[in-house]
Amino acid sequence: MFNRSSSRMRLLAALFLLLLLASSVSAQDAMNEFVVGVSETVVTLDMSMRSPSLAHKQVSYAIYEPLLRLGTDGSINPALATDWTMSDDKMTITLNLREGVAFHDGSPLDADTVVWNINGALDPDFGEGAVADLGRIESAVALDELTVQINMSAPDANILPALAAGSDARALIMSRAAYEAMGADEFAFNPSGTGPFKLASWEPGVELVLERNEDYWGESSGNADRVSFRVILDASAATLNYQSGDVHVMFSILAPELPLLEAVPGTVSGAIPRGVNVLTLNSHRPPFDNIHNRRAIMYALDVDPVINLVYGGLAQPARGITPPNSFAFSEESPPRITRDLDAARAELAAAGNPDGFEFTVSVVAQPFRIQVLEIMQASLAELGISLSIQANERARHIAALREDPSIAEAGFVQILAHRSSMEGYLAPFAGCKATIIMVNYCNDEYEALLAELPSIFDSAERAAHVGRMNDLAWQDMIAVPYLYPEIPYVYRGDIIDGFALNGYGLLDWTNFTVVDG
Amino acid sequence: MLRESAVDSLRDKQSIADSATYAMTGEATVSAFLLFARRFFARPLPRFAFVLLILVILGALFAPIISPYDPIKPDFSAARQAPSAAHLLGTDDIGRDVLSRILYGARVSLLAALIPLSISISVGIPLGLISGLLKGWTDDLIMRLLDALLAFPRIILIIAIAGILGPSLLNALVAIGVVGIAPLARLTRGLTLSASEEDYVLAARALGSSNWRIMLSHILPNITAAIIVTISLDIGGIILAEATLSFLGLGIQPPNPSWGSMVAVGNRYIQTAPWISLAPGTAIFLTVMSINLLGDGLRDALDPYLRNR
Amino acid sequence: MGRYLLRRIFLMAPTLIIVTFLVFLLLFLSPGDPVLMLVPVDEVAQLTDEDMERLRAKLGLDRPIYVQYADWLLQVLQGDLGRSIHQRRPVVDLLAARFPVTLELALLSVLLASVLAIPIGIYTAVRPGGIGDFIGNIVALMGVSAPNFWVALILIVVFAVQLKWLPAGGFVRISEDPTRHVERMILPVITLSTALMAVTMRLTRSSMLEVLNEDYVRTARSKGLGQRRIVFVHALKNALIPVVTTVGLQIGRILGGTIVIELIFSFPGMGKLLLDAIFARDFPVVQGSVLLITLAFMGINLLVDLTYAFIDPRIRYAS
Repeated sequence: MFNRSSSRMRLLAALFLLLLLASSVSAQDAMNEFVVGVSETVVTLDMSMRSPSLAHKQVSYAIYEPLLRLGTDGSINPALATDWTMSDDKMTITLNLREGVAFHDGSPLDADTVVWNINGALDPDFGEGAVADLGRIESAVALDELTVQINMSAPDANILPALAAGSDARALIMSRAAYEAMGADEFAFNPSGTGPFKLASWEPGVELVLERNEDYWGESSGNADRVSFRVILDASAATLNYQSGDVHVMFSILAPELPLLEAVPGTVSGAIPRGVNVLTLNSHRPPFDNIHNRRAIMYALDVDPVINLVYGGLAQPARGITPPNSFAFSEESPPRITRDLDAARAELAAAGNPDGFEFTVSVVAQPFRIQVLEIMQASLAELGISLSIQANERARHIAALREDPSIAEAGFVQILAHRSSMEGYLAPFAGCKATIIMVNYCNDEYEALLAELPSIFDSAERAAHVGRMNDLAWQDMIAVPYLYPEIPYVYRGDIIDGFALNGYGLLDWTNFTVVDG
Repeated sequence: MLRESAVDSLRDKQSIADSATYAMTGEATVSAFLLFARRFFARPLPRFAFVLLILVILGALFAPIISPYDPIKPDFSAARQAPSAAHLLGTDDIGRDVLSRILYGARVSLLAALIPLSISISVGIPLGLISGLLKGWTDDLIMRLLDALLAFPRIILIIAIAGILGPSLLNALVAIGVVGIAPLARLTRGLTLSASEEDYVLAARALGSSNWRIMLSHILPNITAAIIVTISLDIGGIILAEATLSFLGLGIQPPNPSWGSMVAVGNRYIQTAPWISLAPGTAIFLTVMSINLLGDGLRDALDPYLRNR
Repeated sequence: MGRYLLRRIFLMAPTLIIVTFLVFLLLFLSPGDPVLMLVPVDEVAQLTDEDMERLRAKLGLDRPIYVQYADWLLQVLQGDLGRSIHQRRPVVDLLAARFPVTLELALLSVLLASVLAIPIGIYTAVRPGGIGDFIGNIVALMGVSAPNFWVALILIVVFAVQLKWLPAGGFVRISEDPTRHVERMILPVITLSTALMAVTMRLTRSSMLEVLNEDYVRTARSKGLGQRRIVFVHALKNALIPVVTTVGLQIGRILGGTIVIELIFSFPGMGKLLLDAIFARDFPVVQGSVLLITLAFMGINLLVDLTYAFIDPRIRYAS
C-alpha cells in the first residue's frame, strides 16, 4: 500500500515539475518575437555556396548586406558603400566604404575584406565556383583602408545592380576574419555578416532563429528581438499553423487557401511578382522543330483556368518573356497569350499534322505545377494534341532538361525575375546547345542583342533593346511564355508593425516592430 | 549447431503454423471445395467482404460504362464542388468528378495487386523451393541475399527502388514486387524444409526420385494451399504500398487517377474540400479491409482446428 | 551465449555491405546529377560543362563508382560518414538530428499500441466468440486495413480543423518547449499506432488462445482453479513471449514506416531525410541513412532474440 501511494506521489511530482518547466519556457516568450513559416530548408549560409531556396534568400539578406542597396523603385542606394563613382570610360568604379561597420564576429568592415569577397566571387576555385552573376568585373583592389576600386573587362550597364546583389545573394559581404578563422565548413553554419540580424540558433529542417544585431550600424526603428523561420513542409499544415497563431508570416501559400488565411483577424496580404512560367520546347527534335507546332501550342493553351484555379487570380497571362515588374515590360507588344482554336488548327495544318501530335513534358513533381500541366493537357486535348506529363523529382527533371532530352520533348519551368539584371534574366532563354531543352533559343540575332545589352547604359534604349529580344522570342515561339505568377504572402498586421518588402521582394529587416498584444 | 534466430524462426513458424495445418493434400476434390465454400460463406463478415470486393472489381471492369463523367476531363467551372446530385462525391481541384476517378482508380489498385504478386511469386517461390531442397551452400547464398533484403524496412526499400527507377506506375509495381520476393522465398523455404521431412518425400527419395521430381510433384502441391493463404493476407498490404507510392508521387503519372495520388492531391484542400482526399482514402480502406476479411475467412474455412474452437 | 552474440554481430557485416552497395549502385545508375541539384532550375542551362567538371572533381564524384564506394567504406570503418553534398553538413550531424525524431515516434507508437492492444487481446481471447471479441476483431481489421496517410488526414480534419484541439503539424524539440513538443506528437503517434495496435491485438489473442488450450492450463482448470487465476498466473507469461517478440520487431519495422507521417506532419525524421537525399542524389546521406536504419533494424532484431531467450528459459543459444 505504502509503496503504491509513494510512487503515485512521485509521478505527480514529476508531472508538476514538467509543467513548471513548460511554463518557465513560455514565460521567456515575452521577447519581441515572431515566426515566419517556410516550406523549404535553408541549407547553407556561406555565400560562396549555391542555394536555390527563397527561404535562403530571406535569411541571407537579414544576416548579410551588399555594398549597394536596391530600392523598391529600382533605384541604387548606399549600403555598405556610402558613395561610388564610375570612370568616364566606365572601366573602373571606386567605392567608399562606410566607417565603423563591424561584422557579427566583431571584425571591422574594410577594403581588404570587400576585395576578398569580390575576388572570391570571381574565383572558380573558391567555394562552389563563380556562382554570382558579377557581369564583367575583372578584379577588385583596395586603394586604402576604406576605398575599393573595381576594374572592368568591358563596360557593363548592369554592374551597379549586380553589386547591389540584385541577381543573387553572392554579392553580399561576408566576414573574412570569421571565414578564415573557422574554415568554410564551419562558417556555413556560423555565418557572420553586417546585417541587422544575426544567427541565434539553427536546427536544420526544423527552425532557424535570428536575433537582433545590437551593434547594427544602420538605423533600425524596429523592436523585434527574434525572428524564427520554422520549416513546415506540408502546405495545409502550414495554413493550419497560421490559423492557430503559431506562425505569423507566410510565404508560398496555397492560393486556394488564401481566403482562409485572410480570414484570420489582423491579417494583411500581398503578392510578389515572380518571373515567368514557360513551357520550353525542344526545337531540335520533332515535333517542335516545326515552328507551326510551337505556335499551335501557344494558341491552344487556355490560361484563364490556370490563373483562377491554381493561382487564385494572382497571375497574369504572359506577353512574351519579359516579366511585368521589369523596366522593359510593355503593355502593347507582343500581344498576350490568347486562346484561338481556329488559329491553332491552321498552324497544325501548316505543320502537316492537322490531327495533332504527341509530346511529353517534364516537370518538377510539385502539386501546383502538375495541376497547371493537367489543365494544359485538357486544353490541348481538344485539338488532338496529346501531352503526357512526366512528373519527376528535381534531379530527374534537370536531367531531362539538360542531359537527356529523350525523357521529354518539353519542360515546364519557372524563370525567376531578377529585378535589375535583365541580362541574367534573358540569358536562360538563349543557347544553341542541341542537348538542352531548357529553352535553348538558337538565334544569332537574339544572341547578338544579348551580348550587346550590357554596353547600353541609356535606360530607354535598354528597354527598347530588350523589347526587340522579347519580340524575337515571341515571333519564333521558342518557348511558350505562359503566365506571370505572383506569390502571395500574408502576415499578422496586428502583431507585426513595419512589415515591408525591400527592392529584392524580400523582407525588409530594418523596421520590424512587434506590437504588444 | 547454431539455432536459427528466434525472430526468423518465429516469422517462419508463424506462417508455417498458420498454413501448414490446413495444407490440403494433392487430391482436392469438388466436394472439398463445396465444403470449403459452405464454411467460408457461413459467416457474415466474409460474405460482406466478398460482396464489397465483387463490387470493386465490377466497378473497375465496367468503369467506362458506369462512370458518370470522364475521369480525366476537367470541368473548370465546377472545381472543388461539394458532393451533390450532379457529382455524388464532389469534384476535385480542377473540376473532375471524384466518383468517376475512384471507379477508374480501382483498376490501378487491382493492377497493383496483380503485377507485384506475379513478380514475387515467379521469383520468390522457385528461390525458396531450391533453397529449401538443395540446402548446403546454395541455401546459404540465397538466404544471405534474402537476409540483406529483409534487413531493411520494407517500405523504405520500396520507396528507394521506386525513386531510383523513376516515377511511373509500372516502376512502382516492380519495386513492390521485387521487395516482396524475399519474404515469400523465406516462407516457401520454411515450408519446403518441413515438407521434405514428411514420409512421402522420404519415400520418394528412397525410390530414387530426382530433386526436380520431388520438388514439382511432391513438395509444391503440398505447400500450395499454405502459400495461397499467406498471399491472400498480403494483398491488402501490397495495395497499401501502391497507394503510398502514388501518394508520394512515385507511382502513377497525372492525370490518370490512382487512389493514393488522389489522396495526395486532396491533402492540400483538407479545409476547403475534404471530400477530394477522404473519398478515395475511404475507397482504399474499404477495399483493403474486404481483402483482409477474405484472407481471414479463407484461413478459417481451411482450418478446422481454429474453427472448431 | 557470448559466441552466439559475436557470430550474430559478425554476420551483420556482409549484410550491411550488400545493402549499402546495392543502394549505391542503383542511385549511381539512375539519371540525375548531384552537382546539378545545387543550382536553381532556371540557371541550369547556364552552368558550363567546365563548372560541372570542377564541382564534380571537388566532390570526388568524377572517380569510378567502385573507387567511390571503396573510399566510402574505408571512411566508414574509420568512423567518418562524410559530408552531405546538398546540405553540406557532416552526415553524422544530420543523422544525429534526425534519428531521435524517428526513434521517438517509433517508440511512443509501439508503446501506445502495446498498452492498448495487449489487454484487449487478452480480453477477447478469454471470451472468444463474444461480442467483445467480435468488436475487437473488427477494430483490429480496420487498423491493418487503413492507410496511415488516410488516418492522419482524418485526425487532422477532426482534431486540428474542426475541434482545433491540436496542431496539425510542425515539429518542436522537447528541449525547446516540452508542452508544445508533446502536443505535436499526439496525432502522429496515434496515426502510427493504429496499424501496430491491430497486429499486436490479433497476435495477443491468438497466442493467448493457443496457450489456454495447452495441457497445463487444462490441468489447472480441471483442478478447479478460477479463470482469472488461470489467465493471469499460468497463461499470461507464456502467451506474451511471441507478443514481446513481435512488439520488438515492430520498433524496427516502424523506423521505416514513419516516412509518410513525417511528410504529412512536417517532422524532420529519418524517412524524410532519406527521401530528400535520394531525390537530390546526395550519395553520402543516402548511404549514411541506409547504414543507420539497417543497423538499427538488425540491432533491434538481435535484442529481441536475446530478450526471447531471457523470458523463455527453454531457449538457449549455444554454439
